[in-house]
Amino acid sequence: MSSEEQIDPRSRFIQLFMSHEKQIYRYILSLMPHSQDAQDVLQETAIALYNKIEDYDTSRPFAPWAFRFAYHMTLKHREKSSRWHRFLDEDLMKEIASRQQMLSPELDQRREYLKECLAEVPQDKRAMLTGYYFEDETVDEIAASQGKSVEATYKALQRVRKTLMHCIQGKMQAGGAHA
Amino acid sequence: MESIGQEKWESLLEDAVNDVLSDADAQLLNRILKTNANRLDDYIRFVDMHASLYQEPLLAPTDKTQTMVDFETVEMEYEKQKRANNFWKALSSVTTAAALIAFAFSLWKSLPVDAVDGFSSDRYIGIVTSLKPKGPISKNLHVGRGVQTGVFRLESGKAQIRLDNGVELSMRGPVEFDVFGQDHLSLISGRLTANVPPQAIGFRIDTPDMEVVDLGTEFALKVDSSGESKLHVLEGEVEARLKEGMDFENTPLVIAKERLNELSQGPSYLEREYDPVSFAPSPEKDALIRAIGGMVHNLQEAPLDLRDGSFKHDYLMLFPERLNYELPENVSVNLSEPGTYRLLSANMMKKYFEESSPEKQAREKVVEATVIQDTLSKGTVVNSYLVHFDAFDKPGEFRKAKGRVRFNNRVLGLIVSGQDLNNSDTILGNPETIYENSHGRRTENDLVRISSDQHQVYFNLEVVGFIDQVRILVEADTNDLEIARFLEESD
Repeated sequence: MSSEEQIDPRSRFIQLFMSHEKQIYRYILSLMPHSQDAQDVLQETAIALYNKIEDYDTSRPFAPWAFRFAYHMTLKHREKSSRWHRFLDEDLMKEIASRQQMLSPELDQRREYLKECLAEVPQDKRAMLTGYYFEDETVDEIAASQGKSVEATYKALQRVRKTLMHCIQGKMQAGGAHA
Repeated sequence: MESIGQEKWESLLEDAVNDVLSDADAQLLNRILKTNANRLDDYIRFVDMHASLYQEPLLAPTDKTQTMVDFETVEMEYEKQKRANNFWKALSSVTTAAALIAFAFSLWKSLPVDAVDGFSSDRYIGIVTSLKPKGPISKNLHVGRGVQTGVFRLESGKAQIRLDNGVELSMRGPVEFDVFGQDHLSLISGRLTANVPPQAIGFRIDTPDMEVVDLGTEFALKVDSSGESKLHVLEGEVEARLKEGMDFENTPLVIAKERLNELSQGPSYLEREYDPVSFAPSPEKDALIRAIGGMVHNLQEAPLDLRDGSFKHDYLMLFPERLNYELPENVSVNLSEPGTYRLLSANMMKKYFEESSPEKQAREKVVEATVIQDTLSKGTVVNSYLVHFDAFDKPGEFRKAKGRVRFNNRVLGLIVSGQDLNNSDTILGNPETIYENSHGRRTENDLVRISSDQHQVYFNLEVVGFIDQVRILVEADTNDLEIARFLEESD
């Protein structure tokens, strides 16, 4: 019996899930680009995968198997929430899921460049990003804490994301990659 | 191929990730992504960057958790599913009628109070945040009670409920409604007013003769004893229709607050003038709280019994205890400085430093809950709030809840140790509330963060079979105190 087989399936699940969690989260967020909803779907996906871990064929990669669950959990979440009905339709969700896989090598490279580009963002802008992406702060709250209007804060966030996109694009082109 | 200017395209992407896309723009984005392969790729690149920012260590504050998924919940859901499967297996093996009756009786005996009381055993979808009865009401109804799907009744007085999606419901008894889920309920009789935040647009209330779907608004409904409904729109707009009716009243009509006066000829279910007595009042909000998040639900008033075991749900309840209160003596607070704190007992410190990673240790300031960072002087005017976490528990089972509150005013300090909580109940607690008088109410192995501007407190609490509490002292507006004194003197 190999050492891998000796690990209880539940512990193996936690190891596998944690090593793919970011990837699954990005997959869900591409179909439902709102963080709180995506996190709810991620949690529901983890529960579904855990219940089915004994069906997982260890000779095959974990991510595609997990994506199938994530896709269905996103659909289920979408059905429960009326506001997502007016967003991407089901055909388009399938198309995005498939295209995202095809772009995977490019997206990996872009994430590497994102780190470099973020390092160039001024400290005050980075603090704003931390508030938004890690402190769970709304735009209204960031605006209040920085003494700016909500409109100005939306614009500031938009400018930072736009700058990051341009920076990544520049590095992709300089690196000779297609984008 | 549908084309679009770059500026509009960028604004669509921003609105999509900020969750503020209008219906028309959502349709436009859908069309563009379907017909323009380059834009589809751009969308994927943009959203992937947006997702990556949520995971980028360069942006992480000191207490960023390692994983987004709560594996204890995963395990618990798995156990629940397993029990449900065993239940059906057991049921199918019961063959005789006598055995079936005995089994049903034992099942009934084992149901939680709520299920016997007409609620299903589904998880909670909201919480009672205010209760002002004017006569006898159900003994099971109290502030802080979890709300489940099923029939909800209030015999007299006023009450308020907050659903998990942020919908605030205000009601005036007698009222009866059937909760199907957090997006949908049916008002059977009585008066109900709903305030619906943007994330819950689409929230729907049926009455015996009407359907009302929210489009971003506050609206009031009442159903009389004959089952006839009346609607008033207080803010924003709704889509309403009669289930049956003449003159096109059974086709959906968008009714906007701004257009009420234009609808002088009807529809018959619309009441253009708002009478706050004949309808339920607008849901009240705590003006001192700017925002809440995560599992925090703010109650309008303190529950009357806060002893361990009184609630057993997974909400972090936050409520005022004393407002505009002048401290009668000096009060020591455990935490007052901005920072991220891991609260540990002396016994747990050794284990923490042995088992936690250096990264984790670098992110958190480890302190004993009994630390004293500041003493507020006698005469300081404060607002006292309590956070109370009394999770559903099984022996040895950990339950976690995360959340945050942002106050309009500065946080002066937190009281987190069991002894200091006990000692401050008389001074800072709500005089009508019975508090737990045990050191076990302390926060232990929990995470608390005071933001750099000292207006926000973040909690990541964990309980094992006993409550956690944090008392928050917030700076009061002295103007409010002067008004309160003036009113007192006028009385």
